[in-house]
Amino acid sequence: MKPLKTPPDLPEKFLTFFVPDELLEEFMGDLEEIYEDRLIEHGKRYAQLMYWIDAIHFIFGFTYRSKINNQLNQLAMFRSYFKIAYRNMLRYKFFSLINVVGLAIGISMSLLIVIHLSNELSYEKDFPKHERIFRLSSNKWAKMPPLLATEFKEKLPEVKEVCRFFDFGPRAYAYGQNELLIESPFIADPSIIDMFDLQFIEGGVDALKEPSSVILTESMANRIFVSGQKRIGEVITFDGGWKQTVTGIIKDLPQNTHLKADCFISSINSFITKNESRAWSGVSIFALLENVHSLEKVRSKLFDFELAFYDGIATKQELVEANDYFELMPISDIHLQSNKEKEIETNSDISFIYIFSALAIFILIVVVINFINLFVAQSLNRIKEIGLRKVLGAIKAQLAVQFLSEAFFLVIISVLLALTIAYFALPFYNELAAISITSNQLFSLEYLGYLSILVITIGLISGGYPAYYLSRFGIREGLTNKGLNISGKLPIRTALVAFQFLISISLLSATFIVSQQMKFIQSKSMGFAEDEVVAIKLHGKLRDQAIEHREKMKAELLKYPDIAQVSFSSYLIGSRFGLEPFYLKNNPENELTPRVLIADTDLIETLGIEIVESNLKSKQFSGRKYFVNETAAQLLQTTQLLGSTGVNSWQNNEGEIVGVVKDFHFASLHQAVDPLIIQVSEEDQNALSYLLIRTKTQNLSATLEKINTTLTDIAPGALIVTALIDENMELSYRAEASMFAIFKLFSTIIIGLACIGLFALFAFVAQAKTKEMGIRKTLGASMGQLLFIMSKSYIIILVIIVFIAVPITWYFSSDWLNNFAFRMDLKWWHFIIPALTVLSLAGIAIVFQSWKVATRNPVDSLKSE
Amino acid sequence: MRNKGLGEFEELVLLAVCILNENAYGISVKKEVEAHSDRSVLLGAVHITLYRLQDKGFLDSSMGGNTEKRGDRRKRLFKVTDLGMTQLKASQDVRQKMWQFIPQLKPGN
Repeated sequence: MKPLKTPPDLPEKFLTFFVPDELLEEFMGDLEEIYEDRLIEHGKRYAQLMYWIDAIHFIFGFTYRSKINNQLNQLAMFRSYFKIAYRNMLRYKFFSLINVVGLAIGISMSLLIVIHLSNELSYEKDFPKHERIFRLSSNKWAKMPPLLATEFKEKLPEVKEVCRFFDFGPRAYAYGQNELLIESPFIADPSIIDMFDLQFIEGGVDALKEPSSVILTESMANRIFVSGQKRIGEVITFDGGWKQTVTGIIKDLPQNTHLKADCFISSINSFITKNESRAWSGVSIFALLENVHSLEKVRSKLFDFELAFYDGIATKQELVEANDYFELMPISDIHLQSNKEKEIETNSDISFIYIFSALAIFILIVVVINFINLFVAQSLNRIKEIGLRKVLGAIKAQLAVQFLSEAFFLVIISVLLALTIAYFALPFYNELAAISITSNQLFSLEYLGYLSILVITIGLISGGYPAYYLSRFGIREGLTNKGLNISGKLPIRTALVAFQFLISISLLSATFIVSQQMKFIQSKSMGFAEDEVVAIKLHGKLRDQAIEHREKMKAELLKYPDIAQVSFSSYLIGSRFGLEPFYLKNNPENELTPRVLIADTDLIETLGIEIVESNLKSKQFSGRKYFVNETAAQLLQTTQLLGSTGVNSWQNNEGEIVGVVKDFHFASLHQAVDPLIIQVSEEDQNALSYLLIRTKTQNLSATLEKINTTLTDIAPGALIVTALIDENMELSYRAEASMFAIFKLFSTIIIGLACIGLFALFAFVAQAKTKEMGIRKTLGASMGQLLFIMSKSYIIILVIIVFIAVPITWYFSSDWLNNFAFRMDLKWWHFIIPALTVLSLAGIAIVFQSWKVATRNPVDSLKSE
Repeated sequence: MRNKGLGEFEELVLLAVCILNENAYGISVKKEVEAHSDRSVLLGAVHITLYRLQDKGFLDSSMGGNTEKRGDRRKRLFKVTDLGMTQLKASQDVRQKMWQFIPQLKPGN
């Protein structure tokens, strides 16, 4: 947050824009001085409010002094236009308010989306060489063997430099007494410094040349060291006594990168440089090409290079059959277009960009249609004024200019209001979308440009139509109000309203369908007790204790009645487990690539997985045993599965298959259940990195507290990071959840605006029909008949719209649902409920206005001529 | 077209500038007017009036007196001109004269 003392910074930006420079200094000075006085006397809220009021007052009081105020001849004329526009605004307060505020809301929301999207599209573009950096991966895996990078550079002359990253997830480190957490440490080749143009604060280009050296980002360094302390040369100890010397401090990487690293540890002499395997896909490889144009050349050589790389391991035919190809992807495409196994972070999706652009466009269309409709309707009340202007000698062009300038006047006010709304809505939007846009971005030249384009377009469209339409009337028509069709049956306006409702109904059913699918996912049984299991990452001292005294730790925890079972596993349930090759010893031809989870015997009980069959008699056994899930059992294609020997050719070990468990959703519901091997062995305990605890408690926080104390007693000073499995599972829907939240908000706004627009528009229509209704009433029409006559054409249109909206929504939503391996079925009521909702909202607006007219005494409506 | 007379608020502002003598700028004038007239005044209103008075030639101004409290920005210091003084005296005279012609006030009437 801002320190208490400083005034808000937004007014200054406005002032700078409007008030001539020579006045600015004293105004800002006065504002700041009085702000402090008020702060002391009345508190922050009052001071800020008054700051705004004073600033706005300055703008209105002094704008006329600016350089715009020259000796332009038509100035007086324009002034009169604006004056008339202003007076009209005051005269029709309700409609002007809807018009201006509606447009402002629409513009501000679309502005937020535009900023959000351009932030998404800007990923990696802050790296100066991003156009020449490509990721080398296969078409299925994002990570590759380290050796590949070396050979890629050696064999292809177009490749200028390569850099490998190994991101090993949150890791505890020790500096001084306590253990703390580094969220995202990377091991990197020294070439990163030049390739990604790291900005050094301390240290320099040689920082990663020595083994066991580490570069910290500035914010990481600030967390480790107190300010002013010597940092270069200090030693940080990572988990397992892995000592690194700080050799550089760099500025934080830009927020719009998928490489969200807290530190870079030198790869020299590390296990990635020493690893000679051609099968271990563990590092991300980035290649810097000589220039962008050599990309095609490199791509054409890629398959030959792949054949050479796998020479003796896989033949050409095998690679083609496995559909396994090397790929070069521009680094800036990764965030939106890559969704492979082992991505560094879960990437976004290009479809979000499309959906959000559509939202931004829809919201603009709805408010612009509102604006046009209301502006025209309102202008129709001024036929007399137009007639009079014509009598006094105004020509068509002058009237057109008048209406255009009025439209611009309203649009400009709306845009200013929109900027203010966007400024205040920004923190909420950031939270909703889980992003961080700053208010500076809001006022950058780019978006002000976007806004001015909007002003011009909306102004021209919404002023242009009435300008053309109204300036055509002759003097007689204008002055007598005769021969005008203002009954609201104008085809263009009706079409516009219809279009608005097409958008509203489609959006509402889309929102409805998305929310139903989210509910479907959340309520779907995962096949295990996901809401009862707590996971604790084993770091540092805790890990040492867990490996050495596993049974003792379990026994200590199980002393609490609230704890039902304790187990250890190699992965956090809900994350993507590693894929490893696996086959049956008697049938090596049928090699699968199942996910492998290393655990201890209690895992099945801890997670509450159902066992289909098992021949395991006792929990105590020696050697290695495998449990497989149903999917894997089916793929292994054998009649005698239990008791046969399975081989994990990656780990180069084997064991007996002792059981089949029911399929459970150990990853998100986007994917179908993969084949899974649960490997249980005393010998593999080094791989265990999570402690899983099943609780049977109402009071979770108390239990967590107990777990914490127990573990702290066992391993004093250890870092204990707990996670709930179901929360971790929900993380995989975070993208959808935040998209849905925004989607819901925006479709509500759009539908609200559309209804308000219809409400206001129909007020004009009803007003125009006052006399007709008066006559009908005198002739004996009943209230029901009047309401029917007034609203029938609109109701018919709305019903037709429903029939257009349904197929459109059906098409797009079934497309979206296909993203999920587990999707609900679309039902007829997914469309009918939203359609009826919008119809009844619109119906209320129409009937309410009709009612007002229909209940009027015919005497009043007829005598007024 | 320019109105060379003094409005009521203009007069208050002009008087405040005279009172403040060499130290008249937006905020000090605002405070002075508020203190004497017992009403609260918008800062912008004071500034607009100061500039209008300057346009009419009743005030003169120069920049100076930056303090840390203002973020090291200078103030515009206003000073009353001879013309301004004459105008003030003139309007005072008019009032004085007119007061003399009011019949004796009777309390309770």
